[in-house]
Amino acid sequence: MNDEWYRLDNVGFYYASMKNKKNPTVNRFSITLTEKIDETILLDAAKETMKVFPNFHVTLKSGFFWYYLEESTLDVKVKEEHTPICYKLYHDSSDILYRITYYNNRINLEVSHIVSDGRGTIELFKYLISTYIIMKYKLHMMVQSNASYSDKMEDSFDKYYKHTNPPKGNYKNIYHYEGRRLNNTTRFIELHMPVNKVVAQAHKYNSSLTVYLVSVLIQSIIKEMKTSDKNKLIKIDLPVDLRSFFDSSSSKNFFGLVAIDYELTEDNSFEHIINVVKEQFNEKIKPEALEERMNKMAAFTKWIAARMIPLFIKNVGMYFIDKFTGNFHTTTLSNVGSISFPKEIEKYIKFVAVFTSTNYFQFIVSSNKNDLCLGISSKYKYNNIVRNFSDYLLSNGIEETMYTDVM
Amino acid sequence: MKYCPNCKIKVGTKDQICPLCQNKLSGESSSIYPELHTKKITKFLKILLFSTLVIMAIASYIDFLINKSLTFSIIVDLVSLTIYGNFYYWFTSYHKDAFSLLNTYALIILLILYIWYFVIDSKIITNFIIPIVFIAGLIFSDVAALILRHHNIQRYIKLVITEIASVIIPVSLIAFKLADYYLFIYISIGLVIVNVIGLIVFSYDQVKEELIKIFNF
Repeated sequence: MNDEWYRLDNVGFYYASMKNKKNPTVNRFSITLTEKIDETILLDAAKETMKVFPNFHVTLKSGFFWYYLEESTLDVKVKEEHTPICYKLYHDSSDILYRITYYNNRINLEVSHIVSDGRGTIELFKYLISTYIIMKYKLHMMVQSNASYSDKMEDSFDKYYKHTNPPKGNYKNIYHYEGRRLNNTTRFIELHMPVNKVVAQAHKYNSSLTVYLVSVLIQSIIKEMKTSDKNKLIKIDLPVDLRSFFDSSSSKNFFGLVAIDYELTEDNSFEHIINVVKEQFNEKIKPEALEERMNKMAAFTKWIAARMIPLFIKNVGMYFIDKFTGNFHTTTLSNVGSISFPKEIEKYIKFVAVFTSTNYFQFIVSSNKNDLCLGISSKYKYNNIVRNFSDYLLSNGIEETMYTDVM
Repeated sequence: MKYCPNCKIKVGTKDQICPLCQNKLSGESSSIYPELHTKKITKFLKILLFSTLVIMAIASYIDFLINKSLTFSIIVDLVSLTIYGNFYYWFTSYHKDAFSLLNTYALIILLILYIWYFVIDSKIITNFIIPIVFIAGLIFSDVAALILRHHNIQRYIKLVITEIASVIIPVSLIAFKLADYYLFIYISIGLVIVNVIGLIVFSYDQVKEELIKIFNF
């Protein structure tokens, strides 16, 4: 009998309520190595990894009031890639909420957002890949997970929650891209470019890499806006890892959403855009502002009346909340940062890519060594915004390489 | 690797056109992604759907010609649709779970039988067929729980608990006086009672643990 079970954090609860949606959120971390993947070694590495991260080897169960996660008694599995990218992980309550696949030189780890966010999954990903490479090349080194089991299991939203009045959002008329949508499928594009060149460009404007990329994205969106849409607000959601602001090593979800708003003016030059974005970053990405946002996100699960509502009614409520709030942004850009490994391991790695499932279009930035990867998921047939994005970088001397899935 | 002369970008793909500008790519194709055999509705499923609808139409037509009603054909229609639905699931889903499917089958069969009873008003269905299907389902769950108790016990305990909760089916037959021969109904209720005792005696800790999780506030 397996008696380990965990309560879901508030973000996990939201995603659990959306588990039956066509595109429930799944994050995918891929790594391309220098040699073909050995399935037997990968399976052994996955088994070792899950001993250290048992909180990922879980299934989602429904209680009377809340969902909960339960450690699965099923074996760890590794398969050759046979499903679409970020394909649904939850079908029924016996499904484990992650998937490890491989294809040629590439290993993919897909994890449901119910269990963890991008930052939380990176630790697991790094452990898995390091273990695989150590086993395959018989390296004399050990992989260490920095956090203890209880640290990983901590619900940091719960730990740092303080009751405050939630801040009001800017719910002005928001711009949504209107393009021809793909039928029952998503297009995934990896755009690889040298980190040093992008950073050099960002430094030209005295900005950080994320500020620069958000600004390029806003500019790319503006180029696609119709004249009648010019009075609308461009709103870019930016997930911010709260572990950098609060003392936490949790593997569970622990991020805050910061909205970067851009209202079109007469001057929509890149310099103007980047100054507006920079200003908002300084104002919104600071501990006090993030704490306010975090409290807002955690408030629902703390509200005693909400706790007493049976799960099936909560699910109906969450459905309407999602319908209502799902439309309050233009797109999301997430920077999961650098995914680095020890030097002995790095030499076996070509590059890394990160994606997430989407209902419109979404960007995830990651980097490894001097390779910056922009993982783009898009529900649209024609990706003009991505093209504008790529064109701008190219015109600034940043050469790119693109990989796409087979449609 | 391919190249898009328009976007001036190297593209690793097996596609012929650039995903950004839709212009033709030059160079040799290469991809780091597998070509998936996307399981869309295949021609086979279309033929199956066509055959199902034709069978349903013919059955209803013959029934109407002979009996001047659709009493018997409704069961043919429901069974045909169920068979088609399951084929559809089997061919289009990347994830197949035989146990969930069998559990769903049992509930669908009971539902069909109920509908059939209300259409033809035959006590054979409520006296014998519904309770016997119910008993079979309960025994199947018990056997599954016993065989797989070391593998994934929680799941099968839940399966048995679900079956026990479905005692509402035989009880409803008595409560609404839908049957006039009660032997098999009593046997099914008796089996449920035996299951409850069995669960309490042999799996008390698991059941308690399950209840704590389920009613965690």
